[in-house]
Amino acid sequence: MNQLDTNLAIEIAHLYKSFHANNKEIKVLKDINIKIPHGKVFGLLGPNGAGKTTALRIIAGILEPDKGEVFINGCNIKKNKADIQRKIGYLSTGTQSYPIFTGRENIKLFGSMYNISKEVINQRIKELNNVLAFDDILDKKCQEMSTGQKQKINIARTLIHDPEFIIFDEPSNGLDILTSKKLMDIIKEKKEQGKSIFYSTHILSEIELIADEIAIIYKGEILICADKTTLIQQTNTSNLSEAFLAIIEEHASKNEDPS
Amino acid sequence: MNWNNVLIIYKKEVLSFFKNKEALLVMLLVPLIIYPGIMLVTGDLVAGQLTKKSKAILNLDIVDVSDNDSIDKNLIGLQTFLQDRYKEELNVRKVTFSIKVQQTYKSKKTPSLKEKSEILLSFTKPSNPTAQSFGDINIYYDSRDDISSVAVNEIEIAIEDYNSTLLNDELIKRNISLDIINLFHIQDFHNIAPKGHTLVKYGSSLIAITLIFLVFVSCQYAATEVLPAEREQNTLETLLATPLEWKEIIVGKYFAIVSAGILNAFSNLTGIVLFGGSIIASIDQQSYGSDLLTFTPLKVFTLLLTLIPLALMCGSLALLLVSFAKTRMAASYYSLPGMLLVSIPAAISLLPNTELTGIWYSIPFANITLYFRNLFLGNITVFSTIIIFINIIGFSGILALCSIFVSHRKDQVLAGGANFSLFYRPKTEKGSLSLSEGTFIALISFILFTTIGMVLQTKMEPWSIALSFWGFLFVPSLLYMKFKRVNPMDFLKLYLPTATQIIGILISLIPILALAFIFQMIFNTMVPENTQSSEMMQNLILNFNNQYGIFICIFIFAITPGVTEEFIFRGVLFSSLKNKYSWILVILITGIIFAFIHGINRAIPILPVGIFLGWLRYRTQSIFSVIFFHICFNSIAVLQTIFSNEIQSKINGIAPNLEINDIKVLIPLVLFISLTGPLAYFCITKSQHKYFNQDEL
Repeated sequence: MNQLDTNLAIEIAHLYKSFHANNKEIKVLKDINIKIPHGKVFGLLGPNGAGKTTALRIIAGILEPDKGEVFINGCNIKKNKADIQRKIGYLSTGTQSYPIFTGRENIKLFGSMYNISKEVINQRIKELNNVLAFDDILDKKCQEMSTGQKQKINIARTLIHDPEFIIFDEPSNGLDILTSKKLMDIIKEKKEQGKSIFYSTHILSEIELIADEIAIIYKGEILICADKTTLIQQTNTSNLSEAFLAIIEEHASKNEDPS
Repeated sequence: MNWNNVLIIYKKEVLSFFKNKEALLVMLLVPLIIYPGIMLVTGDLVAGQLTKKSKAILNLDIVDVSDNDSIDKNLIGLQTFLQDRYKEELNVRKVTFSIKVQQTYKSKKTPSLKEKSEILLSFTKPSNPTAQSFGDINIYYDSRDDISSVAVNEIEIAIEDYNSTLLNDELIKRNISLDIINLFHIQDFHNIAPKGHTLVKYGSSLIAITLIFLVFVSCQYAATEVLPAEREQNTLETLLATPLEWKEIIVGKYFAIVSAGILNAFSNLTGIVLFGGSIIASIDQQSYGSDLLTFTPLKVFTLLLTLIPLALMCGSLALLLVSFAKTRMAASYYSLPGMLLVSIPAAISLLPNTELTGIWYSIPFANITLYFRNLFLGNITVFSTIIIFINIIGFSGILALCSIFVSHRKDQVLAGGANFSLFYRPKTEKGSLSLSEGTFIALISFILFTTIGMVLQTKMEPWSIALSFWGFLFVPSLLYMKFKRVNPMDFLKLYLPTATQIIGILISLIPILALAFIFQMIFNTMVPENTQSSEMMQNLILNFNNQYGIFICIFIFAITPGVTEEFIFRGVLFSSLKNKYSWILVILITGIIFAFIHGINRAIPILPVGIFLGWLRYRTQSIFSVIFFHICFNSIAVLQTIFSNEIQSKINGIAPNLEINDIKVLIPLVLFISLTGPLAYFCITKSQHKYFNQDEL
């Protein structure tokens, strides 16, 4: 943990987080360790309530962990939060755009927060339009848009500063097949450009399509972290969804066993 | 802090504010509708009052008096008594007493006062006085002069005091009981200000309250839109993921709220200027003079300038309240206590005889309402303006800082979708309140103390003063500690200091008292008006001493503040701040808050005491040592006040020409400090009780 590996895009070491709810302490994350090299797509797979979003919030610098460290590009996020956040693009269900502003106003607003000049912002909007095709909704107020249209704006907003590290938390929620496909294309394109992508979802087919490495998180613990083929081989199954189920079942039975 | 980022957030908030056209319209139009209404109602009342015949006839109780000489003698006695009692006031407050003996019976003529500040006591001699007769006094004063209004109350008390001395003398002389009850009896107060003046005064209060309330509501609305709305729409997390720091986001939002407040205040001001002066002033222009509720450029300029601190204060309170809210709906619930916090102290300006003096300076919202009222009446001084500005801006600053802190905590908790941990009760005992828990409960205590507590204190009864301290500075924190299952031993450091340390503390009283005295002297020369509030305190102590005896005095002014203030400052606040900050910072923070909670006019002399108490708590690791010091310190001040005459005569015996404010006094004081200071330091640091933790130094 003390030896910083700058070859790693994201490194998470011994992360703990717990919340108080209804007068009970809930341990959301228990000793999470992840290492992601540059230029890879890392998939975080887990059922609802497994701690995916909390982990991603900590990586994005929104939430402070109880214990443990997060290093992005070898820098501790605690110490250089603003500099690191400048390089991160973070998208989740919790990060919406302002409903009272138009799509273009939203994108420009967030662009200005990353200190990007107006010309560059306009240029990037044009580039993103080539992929996302949101020309018709750009000047519509976000509150008048459909879920899919909003998500297009959100994606554009997340990528406006051309981030080195992209964190997507269930980005395909509410998207139709066509837009989902476009999202996958964007991720592939970004990967080719050498960006690192952290992708969390509970939809197996998406992970299967794009992830170089997959981690399965369940009840705040990482059960396994490997590439797709290793996963399937280790569990003696034929596909990812079977492997996923097998791993979770195995973990559940282990916990039931008192020894 | 990057101000460019603050500007981005500020612009964004203002832009979204302008996009909400309905709210904007309401915010700008309501004041323009409300003020003509207020003016019409007040104007109507004033007009009605003016047409009524004056009912104040000087009715005199005629009683049979056999001993005519004693009344004359007593009258001269009263005159000397009043003049003695207000000798200093005659210079400081410019109140002139002229006691006239009126011979005419049933005089219907209202005597004229040469100046507004004059107070006339008119005594009418009964034609056939008896031993039990009343000597009736009529008091003439002008309520347009604020100090006169206060002085009249004091005269009433003085006359009662004189009556009791007369009664005592008479009882002793005759060696018999109660055949004389009251020698002087205040029959009536005659306010000879123009009849409408009181109503105009209430009208001004009403305008001031409306102004403050509307500005607060606007700020509350704006605050709801900038913070809980973001949480509700899931946009706050988007902001948090950007490189903007939390404090930059909140400060940007705070300025947006303040701008909304200023905008609304400006619209209010337009309403007041357009409709304010014209209606009331048209009723009886001659009686009011041209300065009343008419708006000279200087007055409008001062008003405009004062809108800034008003908006700052309303904005910071609104922001702090909505920091707790997750949704717009929740924010509207939180706004209710805010409205009470604003309107109750503000409504105090409607009470008769409340003037912007002494304690009212330090109560937020009461002070600004009174200030605005005086501003409308054209009664403000440079001193009160400066004090109000410092007070309000300081108060808003503290609240704004709290909002940054609270909203950040809240967001950390919300991001996990959990309950607010301030109200989480742990299963097992723990050693300390966390930083947020400690500051939270201390803040609640301060708010309760400075609002309800201060109002209680104005009753000037021993129980009310004791209740304000124990009930608001002590009980809430104690209950919260119980709720959080905090171990009081660990948290409050309930350890007895050693005997050597106690001696050290006793010795340290000398240099600290001397230091406080020097600071007081410097402050008094800088701000001469300041003596007023300390005199109020002295009078209160003397009054209690006369009524209830010295032990009640010591309990109320030494033990009560000693225990409760130390409990909250060097106990709860100190220990919880220590969880995060260094010793020096904690000593400074607690010292400064401690000084300022004593009121802006006493803050500077008290600051060295506060810092010393912090150091003492740090060095002895015992709360009892600071409580002990505090009680001793206050007791000395109380005893000094009670026996001031004796002390003064002693001093006169030793050094007849010594003035207490003389620069020569400084020389022995500095000598005292340099001799006793190191000795006290040695005693306090040399020995340590057995639970002393060396690692904490």
